[in-house]
Amino acid sequence: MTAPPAPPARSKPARWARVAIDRVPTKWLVTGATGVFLIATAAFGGLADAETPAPPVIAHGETFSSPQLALTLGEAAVIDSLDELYLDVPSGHRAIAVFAQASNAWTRPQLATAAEGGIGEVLALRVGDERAGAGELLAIVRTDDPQVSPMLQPGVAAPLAFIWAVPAASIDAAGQLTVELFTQRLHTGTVTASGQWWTDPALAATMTLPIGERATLTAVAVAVAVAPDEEPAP
Amino acid sequence: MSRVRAGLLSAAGLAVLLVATGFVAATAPREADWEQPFAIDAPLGEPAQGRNIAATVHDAAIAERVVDRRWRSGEGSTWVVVDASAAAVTSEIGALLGHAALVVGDRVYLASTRPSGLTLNGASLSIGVPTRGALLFELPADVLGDPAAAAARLELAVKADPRLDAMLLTPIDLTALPVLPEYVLDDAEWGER
Repeated sequence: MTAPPAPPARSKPARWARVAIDRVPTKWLVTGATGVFLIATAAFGGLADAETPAPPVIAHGETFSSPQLALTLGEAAVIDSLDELYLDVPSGHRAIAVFAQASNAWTRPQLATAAEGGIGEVLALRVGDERAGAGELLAIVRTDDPQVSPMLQPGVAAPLAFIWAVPAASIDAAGQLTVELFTQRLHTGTVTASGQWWTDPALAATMTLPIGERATLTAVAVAVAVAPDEEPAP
Repeated sequence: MSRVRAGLLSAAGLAVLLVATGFVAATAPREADWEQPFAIDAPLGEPAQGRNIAATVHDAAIAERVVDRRWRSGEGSTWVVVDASAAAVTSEIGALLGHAALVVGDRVYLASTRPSGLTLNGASLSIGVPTRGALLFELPADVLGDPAAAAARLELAVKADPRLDAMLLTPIDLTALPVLPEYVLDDAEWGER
C-alpha cells in the first residue's frame, strides 16, 4: 500500500485560507476595510478638508483679469451721501465705494447690477471683522454719467463704483480694507433655462486698499453742487 | 451554428441601433436652433416688415464722440450711429423697440442707454406712424481694425428677448461708413418717416 500522493504543495494553503475566510464574519471584513481606508486617508491629512492655498495677493493698481471681466481697482472711499443716486444707506451703516476701471471681457453685454449673480459677485469686502459680499452690495454705479446699474459693452472700458453698506463701527476701527476678487464660470442653460450667464464665484485674489473719505460719489456731482452761481453775501 | 448566427445577428442589430442613435443625436435641432428668431432682410435704406415691426434703416455713421443737451460721451470709444424709423404693424400693446443690437464677429453690442436724450432704443411703436431717431452703439476704439467690422449686422426686434419673433437684419460695413468727430443727438420724434 502506498500512501496517496501528497497533494500539490500550493493547494494546501489555498484551501486553508478558504476555510479561514469562511469563518471570518462578513461584518469583520467590512469593519476592517473601513479601518484600512481611514488609516490610508490619515496619511493624506484625514477626512478633514485639505487646506486650500491662500489666494494670491495682487498689488494695488494691478489689473485683475478673468474671462468675464478685467478690473483695475482704484481707491476705496467712505461716502457721506448717495442722495444724488436716490440710494438709502441702512441706519448704523456707512457706504463704502470701491472705484474701478472695468472692461467686459466676454462677447456679450453684461448688466452691472447689485442683484445676486453676475457682476455683483466679482468683488467682496473685508473691513475689520465684517465681510460684505454681494448681499450687502447697494449698487454698482457708472461714475462718469452717472448711471446706476450700467450695461457693460464687450471690450469697452467703464469707470465703476461698487458700493456696499458696512456697519459704521467696523469702518472706524479699520484704516484699510481687503478686497476679494472672484472669477466666475460661464453657465449655459438647458431644458428649462435658456441663455448663458456667469455663476459659481471662486476666490482668485485679494488686494488691500486704504480707505479715504468723500462727500459724494461723482466728481460731476461735486461740480454741480459747487457750480450754481451763488449770490455773494452782501 | 445557430447560436453563432444569433450572436452575429444581435451584434449587427446593436450596431445599426447605435449608428441610428448617433445620426439622430447629431442631426436633431438643438434649443438654439428651434428658438431662432425669424430673420427678415432689411438692407440699408429700404423698408422692411416683420410680424409686429416695420422699420427703415436710413443711414449709419461712425462718431468719435456723442453729445446731447445734458450728456457727453467722453473719449476712448468708437460710436456707431444709426438713423432709423420704426412702427408697429398689428398691435401697439407692448410694442417697443426692445432689441437693438449690433453684431460684429462674435461680439454683440446693445444700443447704449448712456445718453440722456431720447433714442429709438426702447421707443414705443405706433401702428402705421413711424418714430424716427438714432440708435447709438458704443464699441471699443479699435473695432474698425477688426476684420469682422466689414460684415457687421444690425438686429431690430420688438421684444428684448427676440427668440421666436420677427427680427430685421441689416448688414452694415462699418469700415465704409463716414467718420464724424462728434455727433449731436436729437431726440427721437414720432410721426417722422
